[in-house]
Amino acid sequence: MANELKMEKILELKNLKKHYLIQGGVLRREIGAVRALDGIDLDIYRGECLGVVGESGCGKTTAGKAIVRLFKPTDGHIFYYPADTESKPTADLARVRKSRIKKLGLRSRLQMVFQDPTTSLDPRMLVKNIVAEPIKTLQRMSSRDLEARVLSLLERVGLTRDHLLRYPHEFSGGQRQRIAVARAIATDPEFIVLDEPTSALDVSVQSQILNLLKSLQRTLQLTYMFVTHHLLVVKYISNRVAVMYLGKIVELADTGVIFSRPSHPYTHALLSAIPIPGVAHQQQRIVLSGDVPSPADPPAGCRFHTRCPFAVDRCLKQEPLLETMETGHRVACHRKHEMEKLVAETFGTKRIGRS
Amino acid sequence: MTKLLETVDLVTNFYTYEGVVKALNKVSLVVDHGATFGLVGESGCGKSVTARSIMRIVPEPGRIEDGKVIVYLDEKNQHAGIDLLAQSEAYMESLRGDRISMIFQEPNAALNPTMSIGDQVAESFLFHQKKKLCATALNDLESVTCRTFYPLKRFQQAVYRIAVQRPDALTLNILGRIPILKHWQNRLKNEAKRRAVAIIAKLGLSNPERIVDQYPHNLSGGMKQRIVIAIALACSPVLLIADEATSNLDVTIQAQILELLRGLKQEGISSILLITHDLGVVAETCDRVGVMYAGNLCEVADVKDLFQKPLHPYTRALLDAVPKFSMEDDLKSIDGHVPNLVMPPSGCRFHPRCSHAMAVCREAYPEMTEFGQNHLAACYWAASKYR
Repeated sequence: MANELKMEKILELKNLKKHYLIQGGVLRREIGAVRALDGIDLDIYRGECLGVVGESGCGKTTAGKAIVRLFKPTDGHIFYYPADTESKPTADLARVRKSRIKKLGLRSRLQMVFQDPTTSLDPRMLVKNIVAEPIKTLQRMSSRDLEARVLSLLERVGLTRDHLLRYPHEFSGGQRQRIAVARAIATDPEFIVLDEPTSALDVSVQSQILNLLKSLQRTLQLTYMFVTHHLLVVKYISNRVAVMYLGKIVELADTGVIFSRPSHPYTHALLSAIPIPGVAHQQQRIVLSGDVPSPADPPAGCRFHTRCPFAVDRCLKQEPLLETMETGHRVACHRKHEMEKLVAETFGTKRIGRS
Repeated sequence: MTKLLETVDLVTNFYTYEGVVKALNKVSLVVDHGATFGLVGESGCGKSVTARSIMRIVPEPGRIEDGKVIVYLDEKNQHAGIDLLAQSEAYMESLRGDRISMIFQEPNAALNPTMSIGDQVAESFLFHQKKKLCATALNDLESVTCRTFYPLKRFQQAVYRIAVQRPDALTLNILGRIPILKHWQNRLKNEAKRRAVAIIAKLGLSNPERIVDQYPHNLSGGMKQRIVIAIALACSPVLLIADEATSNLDVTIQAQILELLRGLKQEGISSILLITHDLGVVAETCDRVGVMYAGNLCEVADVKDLFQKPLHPYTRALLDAVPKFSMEDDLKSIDGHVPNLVMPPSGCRFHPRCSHAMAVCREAYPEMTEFGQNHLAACYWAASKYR
């Protein structure tokens, strides 16, 4: 299964950067930049679900929005390889002009579901119009066909005909997120960025939405990029996981590998910080001190060294590159090979986060 | 274990245009001295309303209709319970933030953006411990090292002497308003600020002297949450109510905050009533758990019992819906959603979503019954199966 997935790339990010300029002084000159994304390299394969995890402010959402081209990246490439290469050529999303995106038919292929359904749905539009809007902008359709299409989309996400003529405020959080998903799949996309789709929902509703997303992925052959800070959700839904810290990817591996043999200290800390819903676990926990440093002024060397319990001199000076340890497992850490031993020595072998 | 807080058949309704929302339907729970009590449930099931009813800060159209909230602030004297619902508002004001305090959900909303952090933390000292602060200030004034302009010193000493005896005297109120003379309060404010710095430092924030002069927008989410906790802990409360204290934070920051709360409890500061929707947080921090659904408490048990043998179908469904480390098959979810509490379902409020619903569930509300030691549940199905 894993090999089969790796066959075909759908997206390739190369040295992708997004810097938000800070302007200051009388002349509003550039005095610095918030490095939200600072050079990430990432391949996304067709049919997989890539989980992107990290703390808030580490650039997860920025990466997702850059792929859908909600803004222009500062530097780098996003190569998109469509399924039917004959009719649609490969495109570099980072370089295409915004006006060309719709003409090339890219908008309909790449969609996004946002975090909070209360703010991502227009409160003054009927559900019918919300779901129909992306279809209407892309193709002409008679209103009867349109309604039938909208209805089939709503049924696909578990809503009924009764819900067509209602406003978003009449729905519960879970149902609103279903509407947002229906809108995202309205244009037959092949790639969807899911930006924390369940973080505003209760656990019981969260599991409904996760199961819905999983079944949609199977039936519509979708590729997901699942941005979240909840690691157990990622474990449930993703094939591969990218761990981000301060605008960089620090670890990238198959989900099983991330959870059984993490190699970056940050991944170790993230895993051990999850509260476990069960009472058998009474183990030691790695608690990171302090906050994520400001991306406007990232620390020199390894960006994690300010909070890393295993930092050595080398980490302060030299920035580690994302290097391959074994097939498909890439880590950016100077001490990646000895990390397992170091963590075991300091925090014991029976830590939280080891399954 | 001795009781600290007890609610008896608490009923709170909200009078909205759409009808009466029956937010709490006879909630009875007991929090012991030194225990951490967790309250879990989906949103809209009445967790926060319970907390607010205890503090008597239910927001407008809401009204506490019936029941009792009894606190036993003195551990030894268990007869001297005070029914908070029968007390005056002035008494509640003196209690809130002093003996019972609350951490609110959203640190952005809980902190005032126009006041410096130091002022916000110092506020609770100035409100609840004015007498103590005045005594310290008076001591300072009378010590040999104090070098103030002599007539001013005499004046301030006189004022502080009145303040120590009667902190809310009319004279002080007037003196606090006259332009030049009101500066006698500076000494008091400085003292409060000094204490604010101390409590912020205790919560593990680095550089507290700088933080007290900053404003909420200068701080990150985790730091803001710590400040909110600092305000709640300022006067060493007996009971701390944490309403979703960690839900908006990252896992790493959440781990820090939970560690902090655990540490505070080991210092014997207070009992905690922890309100959350995250069962993981409950499993790790609580001794006893109450599960709420649609305004009812449906199961109360020690944390171990609840996770190992949940009795109520809702508790089971909730536990099944959480993603876990060791998990291969599909996640189970609870169909449907929390009912509208204007027209709650008859009988057991969970019956429309319950897979074990029986005829009797539609008609009558099940009473809380005891299953084994300290394990209570309100369910006919569990009663028929496990008793």
